[in-house]
Amino acid sequence: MPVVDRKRRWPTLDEIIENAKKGFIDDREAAIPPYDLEDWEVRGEPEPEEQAQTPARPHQQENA
Amino acid sequence: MMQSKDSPLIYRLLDHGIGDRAAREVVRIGEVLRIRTQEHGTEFAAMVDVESGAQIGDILGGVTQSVDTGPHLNAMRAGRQYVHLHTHPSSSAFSRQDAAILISNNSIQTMGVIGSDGTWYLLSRATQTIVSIRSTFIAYNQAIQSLETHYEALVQRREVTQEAAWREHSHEAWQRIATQVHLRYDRIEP
Repeated sequence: MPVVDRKRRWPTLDEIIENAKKGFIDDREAAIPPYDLEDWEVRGEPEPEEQAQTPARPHQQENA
Repeated sequence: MMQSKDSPLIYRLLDHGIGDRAAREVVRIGEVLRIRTQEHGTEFAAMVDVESGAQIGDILGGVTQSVDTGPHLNAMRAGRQYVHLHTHPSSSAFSRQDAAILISNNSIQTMGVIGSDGTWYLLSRATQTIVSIRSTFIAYNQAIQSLETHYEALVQRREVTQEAAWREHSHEAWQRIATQVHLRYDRIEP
């Protein structure tokens, strides 16, 4: 069964990862503009270890 | 709304590594999906072999905000590459879930989203480097957040609807992060 938390209007990262394994496309965020949402993760900052995983910017790659 | 052989959409599909015959089939099937979405207001999905242009599996119907493409993943054959297509009734760009499906399935060469207004969005791997779903999620979130003040202000001033703002906002976010997360992203307007 697809993973959908109906309490949230946008899917969480864990939901997205689990759904991707099953081929379930949860497109709530394609349909619901974010401008009146209070519970979407975009408003939060990534955890420090996640920040470190963010890929290098293009100019950094070119210089690598 | 059907594209001619020399249309920008065909050229973009070729740029994404899709063969000429398959590109024409992708356009044809995408238009079938779009018409169904216009009629029903829901998402539809299909899958095409990159080399032969053959449609693999059935056209799958979903609801307004989702579609289960598990049968397409199950129909994939080892050593083959596919274009996966689905529709967005809202005509917005890729969701993070769409990118996650591409990243987690090596047999999907290109994801295509067709808006009900005829806009096409294409997403493929740009390099051999695989960036994780988690890192793509974070990069997208940061891009969305950095653009949010601008688009939210447009909505508050009633210069655009929320839906129109989100179409541009989501598109601009993918434009900004595609290279960073080693993806090729294109939007082709009707």
